[in-house]
Amino acid sequence: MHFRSSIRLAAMCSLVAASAIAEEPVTLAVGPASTLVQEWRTLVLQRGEQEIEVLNLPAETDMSSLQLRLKRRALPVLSWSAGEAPAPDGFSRRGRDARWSRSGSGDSAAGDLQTVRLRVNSPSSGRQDVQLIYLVSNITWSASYQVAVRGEVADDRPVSVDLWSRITLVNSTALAFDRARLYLTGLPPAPPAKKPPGFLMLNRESPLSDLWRPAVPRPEPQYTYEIPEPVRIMPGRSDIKFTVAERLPALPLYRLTSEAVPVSTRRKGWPLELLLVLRNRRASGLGVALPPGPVDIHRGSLWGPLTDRGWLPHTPVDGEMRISLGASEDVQGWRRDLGRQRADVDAWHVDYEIEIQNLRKSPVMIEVEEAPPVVLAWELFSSTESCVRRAGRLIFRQEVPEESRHRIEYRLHVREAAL
Amino acid sequence: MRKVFCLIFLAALAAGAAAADISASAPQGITLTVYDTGLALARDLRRVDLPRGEVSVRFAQLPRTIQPETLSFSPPPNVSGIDVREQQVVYDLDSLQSMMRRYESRLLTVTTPAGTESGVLQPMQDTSGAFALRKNDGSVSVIPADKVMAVTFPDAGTQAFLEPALLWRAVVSTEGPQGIRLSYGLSDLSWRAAYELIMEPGGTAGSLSGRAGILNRSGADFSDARVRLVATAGRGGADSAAALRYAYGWRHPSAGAAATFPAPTGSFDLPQPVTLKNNEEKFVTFCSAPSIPVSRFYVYDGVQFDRFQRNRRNDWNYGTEYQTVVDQRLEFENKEQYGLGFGLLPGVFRLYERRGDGSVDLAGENRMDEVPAEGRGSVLLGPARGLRGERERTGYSEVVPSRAYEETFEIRLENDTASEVEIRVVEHLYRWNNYEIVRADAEYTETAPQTIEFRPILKPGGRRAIHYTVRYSW
Repeated sequence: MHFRSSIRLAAMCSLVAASAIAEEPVTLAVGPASTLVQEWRTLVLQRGEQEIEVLNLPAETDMSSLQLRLKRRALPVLSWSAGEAPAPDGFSRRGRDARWSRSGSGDSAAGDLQTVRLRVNSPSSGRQDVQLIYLVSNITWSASYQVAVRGEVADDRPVSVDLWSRITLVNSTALAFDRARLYLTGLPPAPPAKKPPGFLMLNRESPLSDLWRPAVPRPEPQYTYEIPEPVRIMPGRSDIKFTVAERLPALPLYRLTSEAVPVSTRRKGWPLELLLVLRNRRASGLGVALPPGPVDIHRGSLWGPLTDRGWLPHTPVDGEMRISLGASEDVQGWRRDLGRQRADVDAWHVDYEIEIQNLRKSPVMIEVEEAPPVVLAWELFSSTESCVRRAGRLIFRQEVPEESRHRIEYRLHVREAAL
Repeated sequence: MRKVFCLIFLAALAAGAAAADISASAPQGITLTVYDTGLALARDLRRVDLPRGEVSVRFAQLPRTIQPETLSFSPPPNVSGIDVREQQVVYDLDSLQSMMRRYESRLLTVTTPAGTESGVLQPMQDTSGAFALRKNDGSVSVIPADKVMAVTFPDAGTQAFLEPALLWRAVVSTEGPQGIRLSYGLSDLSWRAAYELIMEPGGTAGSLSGRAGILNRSGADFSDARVRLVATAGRGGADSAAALRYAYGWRHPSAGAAATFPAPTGSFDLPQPVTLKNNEEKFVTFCSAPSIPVSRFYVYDGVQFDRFQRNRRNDWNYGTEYQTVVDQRLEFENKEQYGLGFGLLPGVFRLYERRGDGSVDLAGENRMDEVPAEGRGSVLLGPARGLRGERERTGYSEVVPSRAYEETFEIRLENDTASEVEIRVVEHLYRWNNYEIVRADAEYTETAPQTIEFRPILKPGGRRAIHYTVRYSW
């Protein structure tokens, strides 16, 4: 039974019939700026032009988006309005007097409901199911994850992961439905950006000064996420179960990134980040696109100690999920600048070295995401190991035997900017 | 003598409605020209029965936001026999200050957190909004503005103008019933347009509906008004950062001064009269095309350039940055055979796509510019959901130094939707106009000078990479 039900048919503003509830699903698609609502109501219509009232639409409805559709075609709507909004001044009339007060009534308050009067031209008479489509603001969503890592992450023992995810819906409108299909679109806010490195007086025309500028938000690819089961929509905050998957097989992977390991000459190695890598497969109990969100990582079970907090990016079906378990002192790395040689009048060969030390008594799989410390464009000239270039990075992935050191050297070809 | 007359006239005004001997009828035959900037021009007909001689005429039901300096009327005096000596638009409920001016030396009641105080309002030079009330015992109480919670103005209906009114003092030479047409400008009356297009999955046609929302906050109701909606190109105005130019007739250059009135770019007459109530936004469906052919396609144009000026011909670093968004675009023909064929006003365009379960999905939204009759509507609807692209230069070589260079690119595309899609990959050969594609592992076409386009098809969940090498020579 839907929470809201009433719709009235009025001929020239006089009520002549009441509605029943149509047993059709309600659909909400919550986007970054607005939510698309689709609901069904039953109207008693007469053939030809008439006025009807639709009750209980949220005050946050964008009336320009309102559409009425019959089962197979649109219901022609000639005009509509949500009635008179209170005047935004502080005056009111009381009998013969006028009164000004500081608490002047403004626009509709958030969470109110409103009635819309429409003039429609119905092609036929009788009870008809009508689909209402409209956009509403003030509904937001976010995703969050809880992960429990079962067992110790050791090379000779299998590791499994339990994953719970939930969607938090903040509904600041009066919209309420008992059962609604829920779609989430767009991207929720990204994790907070890292603070820029201090304050320096830099030449604004230098590319380096971009590091100190506030990042300009760029358009990002958008995705749609479907909540598998119908949910109850109520005003306020709701936490909705999204996916639960237990005992997902996970592989440990040690990752060295240029952001975490700077090029330096220090003697002590930098700890590598330990990741658990999972596949988003239906066979594992997942198999749906996962929205980005923060991840709380526990040891043993959900009630175990919270060991880390990370971020899961958008993960498509069959995509790879990576859960960070934090830095590991067992595997360390260095990045070193080996110098440069002039290759041409305006070109250089620049050499870098990456060294990995495995202190564990078993081999480990490592991945190096190397963003060469070069401001301008570059090309890989040579490398001691095979690698893949993706998104301006060199990706090395290989096994490092137990209690050993492994070096990767690569040479870049760079050219000075031609101004 | 003139000063005395003015004093008498103002005293009559202060007495409110009693000063106007004759009231004109309610407005009839209203026509409104509404601009998208919030300005509007109104024209209405008032009927009035006038005796010969000097009369005072009152016209009511005017908008609160009327611009009195724009008010004019017809027919002219030599035709109507009405010689208007003075006219004034009065409205006291415009602000608390207006009411205070009207109630100077009159009794009113002020409510403060400490209670209510009544007294005769005394004029003050202070501009802070404080109230000075003279009590019956002769004392004066000054109430600071921030302490005032409410003010009650007794008998306001007769002591003040609670609705806007136009007052005339006129000399009538031709008595009898007359029709007077008032014209005036007003503000806080604006419009916006929105278009909703619903497409069936994988379809090539959609159902388009256009609606105009007219927001009336002018303070007046307009019954059965004929409405023309006018789109404008935005406001001009002097810009201090603009280049200096010689204005016509000036001896020295100055910052360019443009017309401040927005230039109309298009208009649309609503087919039916519309009743607009105050503080109401009324929506009117002005176009409906139940089945209009549309072309929806995806474009990945990945290259982007940083903000630094470079030599694009031989800078090795030029054009090596990229963005990942695949845009979706939609085009349709504005033709009469589809139920359109007239100039479409600029407005918000929303594309909906029907899902398999019958519900619809908002696939994109953006502003659409005006589409002329028989023209082609084209809307960029933002990022296509589930599609992503990357563009990376994988090779650069000088085949003949300073004579011929080669660049190789890899474009990677991802389709995380449940549908098969074709993506138009646009590549700009920006370095020089003498170029040759020496290698490409996908078919392409030249769509414009120095522009080629690949059209790969990606299956649901599919990945695809395109490689090509371009040689520039000088």
